[in-house]
Amino acid sequence: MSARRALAAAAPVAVFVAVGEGTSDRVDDLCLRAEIERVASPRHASVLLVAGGVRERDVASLRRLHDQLPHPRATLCWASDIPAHFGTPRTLPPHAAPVLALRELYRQLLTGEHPSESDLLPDEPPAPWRGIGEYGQGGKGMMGGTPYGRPMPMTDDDLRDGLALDVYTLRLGPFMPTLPAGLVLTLTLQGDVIQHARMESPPLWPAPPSSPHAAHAAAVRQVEPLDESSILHKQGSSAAASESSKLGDSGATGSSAGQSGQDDNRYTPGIARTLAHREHQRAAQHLRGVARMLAVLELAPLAERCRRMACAIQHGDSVPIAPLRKALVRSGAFAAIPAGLGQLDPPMAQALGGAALRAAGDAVDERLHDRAYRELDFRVLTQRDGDVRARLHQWLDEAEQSMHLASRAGDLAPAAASHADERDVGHDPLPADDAVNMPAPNHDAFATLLCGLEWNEAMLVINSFDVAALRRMYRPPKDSPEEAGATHHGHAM
Amino acid sequence: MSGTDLAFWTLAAIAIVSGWRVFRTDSMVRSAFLLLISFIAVGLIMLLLRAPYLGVATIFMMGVEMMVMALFMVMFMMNPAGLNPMNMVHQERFAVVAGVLAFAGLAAAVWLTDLPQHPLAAGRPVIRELGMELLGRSMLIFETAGVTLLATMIGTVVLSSRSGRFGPADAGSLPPPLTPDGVPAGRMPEKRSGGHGGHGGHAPAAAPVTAGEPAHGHANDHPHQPPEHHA
Amino acid sequence: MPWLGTLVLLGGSVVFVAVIDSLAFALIAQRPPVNLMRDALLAPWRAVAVSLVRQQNRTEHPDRLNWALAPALYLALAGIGLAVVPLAPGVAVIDSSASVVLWGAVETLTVIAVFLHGWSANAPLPLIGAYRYAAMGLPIMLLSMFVLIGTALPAQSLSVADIVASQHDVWNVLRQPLGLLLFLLLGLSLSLRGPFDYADSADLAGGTASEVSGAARLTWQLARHAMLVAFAAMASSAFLGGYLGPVRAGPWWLALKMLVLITLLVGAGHSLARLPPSRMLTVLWTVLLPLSFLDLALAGVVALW
Repeated sequence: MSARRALAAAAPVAVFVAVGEGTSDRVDDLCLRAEIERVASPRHASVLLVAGGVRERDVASLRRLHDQLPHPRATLCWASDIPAHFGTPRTLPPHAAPVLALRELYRQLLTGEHPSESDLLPDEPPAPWRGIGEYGQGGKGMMGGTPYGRPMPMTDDDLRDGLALDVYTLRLGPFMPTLPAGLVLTLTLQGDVIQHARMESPPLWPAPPSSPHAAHAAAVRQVEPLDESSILHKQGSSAAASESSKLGDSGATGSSAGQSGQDDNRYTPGIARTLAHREHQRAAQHLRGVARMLAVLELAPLAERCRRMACAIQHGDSVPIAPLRKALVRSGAFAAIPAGLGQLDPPMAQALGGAALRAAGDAVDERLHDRAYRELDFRVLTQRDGDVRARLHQWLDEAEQSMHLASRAGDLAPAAASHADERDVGHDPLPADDAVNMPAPNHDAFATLLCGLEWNEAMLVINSFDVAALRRMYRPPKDSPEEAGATHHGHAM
Repeated sequence: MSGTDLAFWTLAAIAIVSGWRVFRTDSMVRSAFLLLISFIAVGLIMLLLRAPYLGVATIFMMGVEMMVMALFMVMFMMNPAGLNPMNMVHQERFAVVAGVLAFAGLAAAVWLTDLPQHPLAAGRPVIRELGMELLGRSMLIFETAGVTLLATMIGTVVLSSRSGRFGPADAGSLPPPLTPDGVPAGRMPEKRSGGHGGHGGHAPAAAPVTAGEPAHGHANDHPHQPPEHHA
Repeated sequence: MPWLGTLVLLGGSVVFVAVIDSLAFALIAQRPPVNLMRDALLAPWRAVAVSLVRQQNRTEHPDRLNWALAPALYLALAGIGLAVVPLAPGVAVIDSSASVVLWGAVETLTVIAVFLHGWSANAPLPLIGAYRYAAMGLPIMLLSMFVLIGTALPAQSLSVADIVASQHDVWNVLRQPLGLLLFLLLGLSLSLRGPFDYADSADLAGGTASEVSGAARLTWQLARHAMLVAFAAMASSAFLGGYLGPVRAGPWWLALKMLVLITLLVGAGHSLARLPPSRMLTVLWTVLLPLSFLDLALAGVVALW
């Protein structure tokens, strides 16, 4: 191995991650490792990491993506069902950690033990040249034709000032790192101003619903997970009964009152642990959202710091949020976001629910109805404006509140209590897709939000929503309603 | 032939060839920058003539101008390299006649002018002298005219922008009538056929993406075919 | 000898930029403090090796010539920009009487190089980056020229050498503190950094550089660093007295001031948020440009005094 290759082998592995179903969060954590460098474009990568299941309709994109990596290149499929479409790439089961595999693959790629993968698709234009005239300029005025089957930009009215400019239609996703994983958009641009926007595919859930992180998944989904029946009943009848009796809620506890007596504190360690765990997951999820927005604001180091905090919190560490907020204020992140950008009108906010609704000023939170939370003096945090900046504030406020709730829950639990109910941690009491219970927005909220925005603002708006809200904005094409949530319930209408 | 002569003839050739290529290329951006190359060559010739300020300022100003041209080109056309070839020549007959006449006129002017023949002494403060020559006695006039022009430009933009004097232009802003209850003053805007492109419609004026065929350029997933292996 | 000195200054400072860049990123991202310094020192060399091992890719129908030339042009412009800066009294590669205007031409052509880099790839994200950068680069350039002319007033000359010499008693940063602040924005813009990185930005998956790999990308990164170096040299000379120092004027003072400015700009690039372009354009035209007029007017008043 030459000195050049040896030096290159010592560099972090440049990985482009094609994020599939339910792996986004794990990939975020993986890419915090110093041995790995996550790159934003396949042109800058040595290894393509396919993480998680890829939807059938995204496979063609994935194959094109593969061919865009420069040689030497290799593919690693982690927890993915894709190999059948993909030649014979390395595979790795879901429970394995891919850091070592990635490094080993990269080393072999540089020594030549693993030959660089060849193209999956023929290297030719997708359609034949169909220009008119000597320069292809036949047709209208100085230009025209459909080079390689692509319609030429043609004049359209500008949304802002009526100046007629050419429009340009492009498709983004599903693997674009700026967007939530799985989101596919068709944008029509004039300059960098969006004239039309359509969500072709909804984003994928960032974590699997049945993992040990299920509560996390629930938090992701924005259904406030803990209603009365959830925590208290999950803790087993004795705990529930004791708490109920303490609260004098006799009607509900008649049958089980006699079984209590081991503990008259409201918070058994199990409840405290479950609650703390859930709040940690919620905080982590919000921080990951903040990180996505920071990346759009060109604050990559702060985004990495956010993801690192999210990773630590998800593993149960208590991390203060306030210093992060201070750093954000100093960076000008809040000031950079124009006031009123991506503002939701009340019906749209109602339809989206969750943090987006609270950021618009509605104090709606399922946790209010949970006695466990009431005991902790839980109150709903809200913002007023319902715009991108308010949603960023909301995420940070709620993350901070979650950390606070988690630590208070721990304080209230009896210190000497035994460690019970470990198995309850992470039990997911919710339906897999809360969109089932919620009315969908009754118009194309997504297009309304994005039309007339400039590119960077549009990216800010998209990333100011969590996956649940974005999925709720998805409207399947009229001719094939069932395609909607191919991976989950096809219920988005 | 001295080094200066060699430099002059090379630069002159570059200026002419790139000027010719302006019209033989198939893209407005390429032709704008070919024209820039031509101007840069001329600017460098000025440096040879010991006119450092004029030479560098030519490069500077032409750089800005060509950039603005290319910017407007992309703004109007959204046309990256190679996507859409264009014919850079139109109204050919008129252009040929005009070109020949202009060339003849300029050539005659050069021919008939009594060109000066005295090289400058080294160390002469040419920039200072140029400044005095240009602005020495008319600085006030120049500056006043400059500020007036700038104010005019800003005024034009303000008056023609969407948020005009009488409210947003697309919300039917009208000047007040000259007499009570009279018709609004000024010219009535013509009604455009069709609404603005945009809201929720599904048929952008640009032909929509053909089914099954990817639109030009997915981000990180576009149909640009992969590199040739042995390029 | 000015050639050699300038090359040494360029090479050394480019390595410094690369190292301080990875170090600043790691510190702001609060990476665990294991091997931070070692990684930062090795990172540039590893990146070079990776780029050289990697194939140069091709898109469909790029403008090959311009695509290949843009990074080279950018790098050459950085070289020219550094060449107009005097390393010591009377020692500059380009000692022109209009070297400030030449620097202005470098700024303009930089906008063109970045634009061509994005346009030539024939792909949407680089195109948007290029387009956006050109729209932003022009007002920033105007602003920087107003500010720079302000420094030429006390020297009564358009030569950078004279501007440095005119700061023998008092540095321009004391005469025009506002000028240096405004001029620093240009540095972020010329080297495509942080709050002014509208060309190679993260929301465009790398913008104009999102379709290049291998040696072409390496050249581009190198040129970005070199442009930051050239800018730091120019800013040090125009505002901080260049090679002048409390004792024994010489290139070491220039190098020291450059390192300080580079560290400042790299840190700012990693820790300041970028405004959406339309908002930034508004700020540029309605706030910063008038401020630069004001700076120029004040400089004129001070010069007349």
